[in-house]
Amino acid sequence: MERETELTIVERLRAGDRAAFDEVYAAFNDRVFTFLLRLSCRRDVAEDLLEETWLRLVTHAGRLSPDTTLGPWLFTVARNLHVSYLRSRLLEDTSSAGLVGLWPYGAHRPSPFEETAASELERRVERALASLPSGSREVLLLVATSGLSPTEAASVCQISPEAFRQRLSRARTQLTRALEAVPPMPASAPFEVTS
Amino acid sequence: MSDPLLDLIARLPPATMAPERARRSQARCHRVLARRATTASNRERPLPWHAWSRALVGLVAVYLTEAVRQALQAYGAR
Repeated sequence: MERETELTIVERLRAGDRAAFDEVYAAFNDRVFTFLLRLSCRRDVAEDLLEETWLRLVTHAGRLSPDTTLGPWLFTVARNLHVSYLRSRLLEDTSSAGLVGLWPYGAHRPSPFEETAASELERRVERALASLPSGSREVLLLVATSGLSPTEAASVCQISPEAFRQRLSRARTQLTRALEAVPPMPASAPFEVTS
Repeated sequence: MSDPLLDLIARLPPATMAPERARRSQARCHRVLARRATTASNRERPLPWHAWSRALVGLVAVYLTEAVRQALQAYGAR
């Protein structure tokens, strides 16, 4: 989205223009959804968090700063909602059966993408990505798929660009190791349905 | 993208929300925007004439009461 166009859309959004919202929705819905789905590994969770993200936008539209950059704004809200979701899940898990071993998404849980991934390589990448800690997964996804600049991606995670660069480097190493650890699977292998 | 590892992630297929859920979600946001527009227009609408006239009558009444009270005070003192 061109910056000039974006500023006009933000202005219209601030005025409560429905068509402006639809334009933002069309431009970002799939991207933010893909990010949330790969981050949470659950379709129902990703859909709920995405809806909440859009609701936050329309609720706060009147208070948006005129120079708001919509991409980072949306990804920040989506990411924060996911962090809150993880915290609530962790609390639930802790109260029911203890903390260790109940991290919401274990390495053994296949993501919904794995079921539809076209190639063996894609399946391996999906599995490896899903096995990473959430913090590592989010930096990789932000850099590779969100379309944000590294500085914007760092602001989404609310860390400095330097800290983001370090986290990204760590995440890359983890992903490389995870890819090596994920065994090749036959294309017809059945997957557990998680969504 | 020059990084082959990140390139692998970038090439993964994108996801789309279930169409029905997307429609519901968008409609919900439209409702919120419509509600906001209604609230904003109510806030911006000028007070109707009868509200102004009531306020004016009230002010005149207060003024007259005070004038009478002070007049009584002044003439009653003599």
